[in-house]
Amino acid sequence: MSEILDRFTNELLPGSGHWPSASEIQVSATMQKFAESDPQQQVLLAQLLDFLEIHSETAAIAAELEIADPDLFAFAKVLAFEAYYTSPKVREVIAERSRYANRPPQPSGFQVLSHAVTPWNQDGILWRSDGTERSERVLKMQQKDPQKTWTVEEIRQWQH
Amino acid sequence: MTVLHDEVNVLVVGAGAAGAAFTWRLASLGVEVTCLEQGDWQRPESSLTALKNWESKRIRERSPNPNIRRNPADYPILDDTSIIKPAIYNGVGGSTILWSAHTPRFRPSDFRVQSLDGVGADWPITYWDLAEYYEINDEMMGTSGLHGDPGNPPRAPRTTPPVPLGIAGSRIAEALNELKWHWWPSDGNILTQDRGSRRACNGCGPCEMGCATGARASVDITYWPEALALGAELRTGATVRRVLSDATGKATGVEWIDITGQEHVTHANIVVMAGNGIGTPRILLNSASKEHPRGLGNSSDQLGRNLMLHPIPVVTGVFDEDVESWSGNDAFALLIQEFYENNDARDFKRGYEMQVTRGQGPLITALGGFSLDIPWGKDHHEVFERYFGRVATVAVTCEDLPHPNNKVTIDSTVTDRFDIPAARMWYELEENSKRMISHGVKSATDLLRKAGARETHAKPFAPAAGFHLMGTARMGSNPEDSFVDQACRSHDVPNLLVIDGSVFASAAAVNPTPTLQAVALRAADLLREDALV
Ligand SMILES: Cc1cc2nc3c(=O)[nH]c(=O)nc-3n(C[C@H](O)[C@H](O)[C@H](O)COP(=O)(O)OP(=O)(O)OC[C@H]3O[C@@H](n4cnc5c(N)ncnc54)[C@H](O)[C@@H]3O)c2cc1C
Repeated sequence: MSEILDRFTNELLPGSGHWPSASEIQVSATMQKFAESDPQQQVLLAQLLDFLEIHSETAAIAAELEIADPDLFAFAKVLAFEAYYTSPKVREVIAERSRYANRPPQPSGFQVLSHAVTPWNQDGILWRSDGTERSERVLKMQQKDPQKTWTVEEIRQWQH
Repeated sequence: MTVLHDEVNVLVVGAGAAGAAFTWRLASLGVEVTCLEQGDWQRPESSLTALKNWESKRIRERSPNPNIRRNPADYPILDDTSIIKPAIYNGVGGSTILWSAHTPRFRPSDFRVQSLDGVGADWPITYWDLAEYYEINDEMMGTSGLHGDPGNPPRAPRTTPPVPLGIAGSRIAEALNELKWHWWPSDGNILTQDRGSRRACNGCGPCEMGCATGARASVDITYWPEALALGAELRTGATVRRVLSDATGKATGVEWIDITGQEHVTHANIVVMAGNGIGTPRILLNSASKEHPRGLGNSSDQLGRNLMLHPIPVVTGVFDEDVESWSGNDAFALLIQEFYENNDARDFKRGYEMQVTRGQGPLITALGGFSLDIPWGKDHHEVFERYFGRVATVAVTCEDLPHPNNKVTIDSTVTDRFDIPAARMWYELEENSKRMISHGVKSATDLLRKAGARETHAKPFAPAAGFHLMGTARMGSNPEDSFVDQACRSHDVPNLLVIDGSVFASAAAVNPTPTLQAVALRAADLLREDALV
């Protein structure tokens, strides 16, 4: 049974260069483990296995499923990718081949590299009046002094 | 089974963004207030971003779609009649448990779309009625940003400086300067410096999984502790089935079920709905009676209608070098409002904003991220390597116009664990949205190209992005075409309030939460001012 699932997952995720194939890192076993805790996934996984068994003679079984039952294929693809991309081995490859560290986002987080860019338009007021007297009043004040620091108390006065 | 009865003064249904703000405000005015929430507290240690298999959690138990997540507190939302799928969370904190905390405000014109541009519906209130409440909310939630945005009326200084632009964000900002398009560092409820027990953001990426450091606000760590300290009561695991009303049509309280299945009736002077744009109409439609045959307070037949979601087209740009797109808070750094206001020279009414998103790990990228198409099979790894860490996505938030057939109804063929009918979403894109989407995709593509993207990939709308839920019990002056008045009170049932995004008469083209929280705070003040509590 897992042989046919191995074949299917290898069609989705064949090994290449630094990347292991799905079967090399036991993606099919992980898929089965993931599905264990969820009855809905178990049903879908059983449907997938049935399909694969029935079509075991087909050379390109993943492509066959994608056409025959797109929803079941989508389920299988997500589960296989989930198993593959959460595997420590694959995470190592990613870390080797990008600047992404092989660790969860927390607790260390990531430094966010940036450089400061100043918005070109600091002064030209761009919002549109709603036609009320209050709107016109605030627009005028803002146009007069675009960089003024407003207090909450001043803003409260706009209600009236 | 015996039904347990008790009595309270003000009863709020839902402990999310709106319910928390409203409860805190009333409690701070000395009013006795009780909130019923069907879900539970989120334990801080339940932050999943420290787990090795965090990405697996992200697509399953932290999926924003309740139909995928299927937590005990989740109710079914039938969505085969909607091209955009629901994204909410049920628990103390509501959908802010999963939100990205981007907090732009509505502009003044957004409240008067009918008078100014001849589409949709005006609100019976203006920006100026909410300005003070936006400020109170910014302070309570903790807001990073930079004051002085020329695209919006002035605001008070922000709590902390803005979140960093990131490598791609900086490039895009430079491109915007060259194009001379409006942009400004975004306001967000994400702290960039420590504040009390909340730590500064450490750029870890997946805000939507819940924030381990408390940098990203959610109302369970902002409003709720303060509301409880002021004496407000919060009952968790309390699922409201319906709002009860008497022969005069007045609301008398609610019927609810606790997690053991015990039935309760809590009598109240005032009932306040804060279950969000789907949860609120669901319960009010389920509260039909002889006096209210179409659902409580629904003589106008507006309840559940005019569902507005913001279609969000997404364009992903691929850069030649690594821009570390897995780092940084996930949904925003800068706000682009060049195409925000109505322009009659365009072939659509109203407008859109753009924001730059990031924070995607390997699994989400491999599955296509926002709009990539990474093949399975022999080319998979090569394409993955070309994209991973090298992308930036511009999300275009399009203003949605109200339409009576975009709606929430109830469907009793499917029920939740307590036999309460499921909600059903009905949503299609209108012609105006389709034209706006085309314009937005072109703008976002031009921008990414200008910023140096070598290729771009667009999707006309993000199907999973049903997180801005507005309009399903809208506010208005005319009881014939709206559900609540300017004080959020039902036209038909004076002691019934709706205070969440359901009351929005228009959707604007920005994320709705600061506006719905400002509306909720104001509704609390008016209730007190009018001596109703
Ligand atoms: C992934 C994601 C990203 C988002 N990003 C942003 C963003 O960047 N900016 C922004 O402005 N907004 C964002 N949002 C939307 C934002 O979270 C919502 O606008 C906001 O939380 C709505 O507040 P609310 O109080 O109306 O409803 P919610 O916060 O959804 O709370 C409703 C509460 O009511 C409870 N409830 C419902 N029915 C019942 C019942 N029958 N009995 C008892 N309790 C009930 C629910 O359990 C829930 O806890 C995002 C949402 C998601 C899911």
